[in-house]
Amino acid sequence: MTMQLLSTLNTLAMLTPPQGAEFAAIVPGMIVTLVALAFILIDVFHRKGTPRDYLAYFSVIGLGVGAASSWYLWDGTLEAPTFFGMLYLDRFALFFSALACVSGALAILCSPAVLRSHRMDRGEYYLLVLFSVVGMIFMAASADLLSLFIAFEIMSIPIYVLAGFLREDSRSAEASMKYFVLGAFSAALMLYGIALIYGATGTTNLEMIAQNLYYLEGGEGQHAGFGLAMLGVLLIFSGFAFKVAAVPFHIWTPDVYTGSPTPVVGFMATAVKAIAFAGLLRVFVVAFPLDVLRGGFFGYGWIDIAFALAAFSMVLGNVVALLQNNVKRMLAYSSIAHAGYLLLGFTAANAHPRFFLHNDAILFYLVAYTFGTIGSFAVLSYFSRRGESVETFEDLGQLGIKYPMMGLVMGISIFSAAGIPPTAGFLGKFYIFRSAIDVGMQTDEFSFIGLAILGVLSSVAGVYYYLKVLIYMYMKPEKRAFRPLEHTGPKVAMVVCAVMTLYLGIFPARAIEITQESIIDFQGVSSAVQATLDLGQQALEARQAAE
Amino acid sequence: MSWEPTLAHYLILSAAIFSIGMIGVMVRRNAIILFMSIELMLNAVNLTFIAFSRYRIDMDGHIFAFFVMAVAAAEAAVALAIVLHVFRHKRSVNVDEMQQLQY
Amino acid sequence: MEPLYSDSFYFLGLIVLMPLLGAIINGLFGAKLPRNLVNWVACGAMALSFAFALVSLQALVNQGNGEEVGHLSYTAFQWIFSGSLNAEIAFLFDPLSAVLVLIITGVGLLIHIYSTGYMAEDPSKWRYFAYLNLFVFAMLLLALGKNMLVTFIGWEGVGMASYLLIGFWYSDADKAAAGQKAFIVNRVGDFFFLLGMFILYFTVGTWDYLELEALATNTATAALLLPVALPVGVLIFLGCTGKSAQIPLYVWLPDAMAGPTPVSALIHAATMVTAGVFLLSRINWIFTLDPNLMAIVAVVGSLTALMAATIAIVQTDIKKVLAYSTVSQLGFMFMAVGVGSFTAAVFHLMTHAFFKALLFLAAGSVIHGMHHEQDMRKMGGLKKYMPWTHAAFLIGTLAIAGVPFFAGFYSKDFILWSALSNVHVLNVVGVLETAQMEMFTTTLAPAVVAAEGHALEVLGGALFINWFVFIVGVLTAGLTAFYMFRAYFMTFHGECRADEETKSHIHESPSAMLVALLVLSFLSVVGGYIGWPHFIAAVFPKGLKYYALGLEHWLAEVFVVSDTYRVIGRFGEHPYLAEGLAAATSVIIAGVGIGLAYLMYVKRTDLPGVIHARVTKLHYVLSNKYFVDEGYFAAFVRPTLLIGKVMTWFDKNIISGLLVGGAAFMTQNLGRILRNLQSGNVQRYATYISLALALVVLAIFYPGCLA
Repeated sequence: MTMQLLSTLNTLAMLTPPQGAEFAAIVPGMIVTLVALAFILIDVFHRKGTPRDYLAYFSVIGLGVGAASSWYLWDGTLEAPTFFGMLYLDRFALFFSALACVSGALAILCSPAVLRSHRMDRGEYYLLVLFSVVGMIFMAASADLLSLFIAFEIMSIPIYVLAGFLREDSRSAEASMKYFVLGAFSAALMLYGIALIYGATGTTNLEMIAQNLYYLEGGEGQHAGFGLAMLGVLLIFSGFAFKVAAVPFHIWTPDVYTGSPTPVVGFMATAVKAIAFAGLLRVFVVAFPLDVLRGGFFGYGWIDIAFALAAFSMVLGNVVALLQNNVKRMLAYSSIAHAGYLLLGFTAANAHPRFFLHNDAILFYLVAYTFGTIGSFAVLSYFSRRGESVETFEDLGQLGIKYPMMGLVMGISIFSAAGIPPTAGFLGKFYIFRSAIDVGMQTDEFSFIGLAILGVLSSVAGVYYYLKVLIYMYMKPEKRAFRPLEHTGPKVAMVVCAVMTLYLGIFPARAIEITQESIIDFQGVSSAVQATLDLGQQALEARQAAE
Repeated sequence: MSWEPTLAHYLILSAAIFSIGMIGVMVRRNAIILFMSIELMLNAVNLTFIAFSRYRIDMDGHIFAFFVMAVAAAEAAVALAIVLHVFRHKRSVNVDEMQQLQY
Repeated sequence: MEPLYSDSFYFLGLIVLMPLLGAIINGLFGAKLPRNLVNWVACGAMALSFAFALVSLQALVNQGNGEEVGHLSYTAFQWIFSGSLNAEIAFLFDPLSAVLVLIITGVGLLIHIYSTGYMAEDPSKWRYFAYLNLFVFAMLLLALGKNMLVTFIGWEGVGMASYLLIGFWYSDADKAAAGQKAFIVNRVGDFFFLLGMFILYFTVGTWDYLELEALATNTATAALLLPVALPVGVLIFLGCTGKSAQIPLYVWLPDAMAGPTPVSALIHAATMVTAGVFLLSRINWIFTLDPNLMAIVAVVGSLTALMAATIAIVQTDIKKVLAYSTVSQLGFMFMAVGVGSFTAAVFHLMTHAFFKALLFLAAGSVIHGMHHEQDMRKMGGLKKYMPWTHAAFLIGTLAIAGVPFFAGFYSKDFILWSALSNVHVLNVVGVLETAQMEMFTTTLAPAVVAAEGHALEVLGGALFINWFVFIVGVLTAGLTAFYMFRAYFMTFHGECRADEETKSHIHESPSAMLVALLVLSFLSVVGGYIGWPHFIAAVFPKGLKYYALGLEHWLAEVFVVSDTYRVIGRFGEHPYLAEGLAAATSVIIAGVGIGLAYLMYVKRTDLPGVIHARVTKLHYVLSNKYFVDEGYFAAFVRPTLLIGKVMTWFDKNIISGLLVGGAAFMTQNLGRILRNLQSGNVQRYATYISLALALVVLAIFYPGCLA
């Protein structure tokens, strides 16, 4: 009955032309788009031979405005999808659009000096980052597989180009090529999955997919359609798994991270991963909540796939990172491990509708991870002068002593990545493992506890290679001298990241509240999840009233 | 008793094209052909969409197919740029010669 | 009783804040500050912290009503606040944390002062002091935490600071590796601790010590806690074996000696390594719920004590002797915990902090004087070069050996006597019928377990364990006296075996270092006078009697629950004769140890060689590579030799080699295989992705194919 009602509402929403209020849904994306367009105009009048720093700062400010707009829209969210059922305007989407803007801004701050030293001080670079952020913003908000796919490609294509932006570096070209081939390949797989879902359900709207699958399950003689849907679910999952770099779809990560320009890697590792998780949550929670598809504790559904991927990612990421000699490559494997932890949180929180609120752990982890990771890539960007960039561990020798600020920021980022208090990374891991153990204890599904133990153990192994960075920075002799790229941008990014990492570790209360509000305001969920969300809403209001 | 293609035929055809595309990505060394294989995969998807769309008498699939074409065009543009970029460095467009980044 | 300052005694925050400020000032600006100012900042922060600790102590005593003093607390801020998980950064100052906080700030201050002399010439002294202050900050968090989460943050923080300090002298790759090893072994322990914490939280829903205590000591609610007491206790205890260097995670401590010696004194003797003992004492009401848990702690503690003592006998590096002796003494503390005498454990924690810090600092003084020579075989006769250091080391040695009137005697005797006298009350069901019944009804364990009818089983097991602990304890005490005096004689007596070059440079240490030695020497003597054995305390005049048992009185309210272990009333009648006999045994065995050391290393210096020679033939087959190198190895009686060898071998091969090395080997090779997937060929990558997808699809559609 509820399903029926929902369906009517949704159809109505899809047939009504957009109301004035609905335009709020595209405000963050529009702001960034307008900034990008203005950027093109300004770039036309750029005087040749002068640095483009002001353009970088312009984009940073534009992204800042984009992030701030989320703040203004925070209390004006809508329940029904807007624009004929294409986009949601909920806090979940706003949260991720702000995160994408911040990540893009920090990456841009690190870039100007790197680009100049590679003689590639071009406006296109910032433009591509801006457009990619636009894609990210719409992806987190999308309510339809069509808008999701378009946003997905708007996000991805600029990054393929950015990966190869350093024209004189053959490794950059190779990274770009590999990323593109595999990215387009997996996008095609995902698209095929979308087509199959469309075939099985006759719609691409996420909520209506859920409904139609619900009827399909109830009807008789429809099992063929159901198999089609299952195959579609798997293909779509593989597309997201590719973007979040989960084993075994991680295979591109190390090569692409090693070859791409360092600030771009920072952007790729944080924003793309975060937004892929947003899309993953949106699509799978809204469209595929059926128990048959979801599975759980080895009922073989997407939860079990996520479970297996989480386990593989945590182990492989941490184990292979031990052997790396190249710092960026090590960070690539570490980002695979982080994807594993995030998938662990994803599995635990979505295994049963009543644990949906535990998704706040993923959101918090992503914030902590974003600042921690960009912090370390900002330090690496600072030392990536053309032809003498810091690449291997040996290159790090004594850098911490010679440049105390970089050493400190790197130390904080590394401690955050390793999950050592009082950094944000500790709290993020703590939160993820807590939710897994909580779910395990409450459902008696010890698989979650086992996975949490695996996660904690592999993070212990992770400490080894993280510490290696610090050991080289402080305790090993200098192999060769590096001239850093003196520029204010990366320093600002570093300070922001380090301060935020510590701030979120020590005073996380506000951030946690924001993540909870984002999860509670998640739209388009099934009635079972909605009941959980209502409970969460009540608890939140009670707590805010008590304060 | 005239033979008419049904939905299943279209699906099998598109699956076959999709597989050919996939195999092409895996075995063809020339980057241009590799990209063409990816285009093949995308077009197989389009075929699936259109077939389902016809079957369900629903326009959503058609719209989706148009967007896929647009995206495919964008991808092709980027792909060719990347191929040129690689060619400048390697004087070759064979992807198996790109193994600078490994392990 | 109602605390006077409810949750707002902000001095606790100041105690913690001072070292943090010191660390921040030195860490950020230290490189640019004048060198003397760095000293002043670091020591000033510690002095202020110590002063605030004294103020807090005064306030705590003032609010007492003669019977109890209650506690002081301060909530700094709400840390996590999220419905299912709430945690605040809050501090708790009760008799137990008061003891530890005073040790940390007091001994810490002395060691900071000592360091100003020891590190005077180090170019990055500012970094050293920043780390040291950071360590103290984390340690204070650990000690003052009002809930388990704050303790855990401190727990991780001390591990991090200890890592930074062990690897402080980075010129040496081994030292960096030692720091790393310490950190990783500790992380393994931390992981178990965290797991235990989670299980506890999801069972009872709180980490607050006061709330937990209320739960655990109330018959109605403790039933909730009882089923998880064993898993939680074992997991937390495993965490403690990491931090406090017990079997099986003790391996890092000897390696940690790579750090500067004052660091060893502060972190690896006085404070950090005792965190495990402190934590178990803090949650004593969980451990006393389950006698099996206590038995585990007691056995692990005893075995560690004995094993470390046997290894210490063969060490030639003066710091290694002290390191193994620390492991052994920590074993003693866990023995005390295991037999339910938490007071004895805390007492030994305190005296050990004094005399082991003293020994380390004296050893540091020797090393400083001998220009970083640590091998005792190249020392000897230092008495005449360094009289002050000699006196300090002698006092420390006498204290650790358990010679009466020195601090170590009192605490060690208390532990041994507790081992003999403390039996879990469950096994004396008959006693319960008498007047003591009242005392026990406040606790739950007897009721539950007796009802299940296990009383007799527990009796048999517990008695065995108590005798085991006592005998191992006495044996270890004898070994301790022997190896400590061996170290003392080898270092300060006989001919100087250093080369002429070094000999001409040997000098007494600067006064900053000697001041610390002096104060610690004083404490190593009088530190024990607040815990006389009962049979002696009985003869004290009325007024002094209370203070002669001062520590027991002071801690009584914290360890109310551990009274379940007492057969003999706390301050009433005592079997003085038995207690006296136990004390006499430990004194005699200490005397034997000292005498043997004197005989072998002063009177008949050929004796170790002779024994060595004879045992060489006997054990030629058994021994292989360690045998020839370890010249002093043979210098014990045969069984000990065998145990020592087995233990050393076990340490080196099984624990370090097989477990640590093997795990590293496996992960490395696994990593290598997995790395080969990353061939660099993009088409192969596409194939992997397709195969992975095919596998997933197969798994979903034909689940059988994976099975």
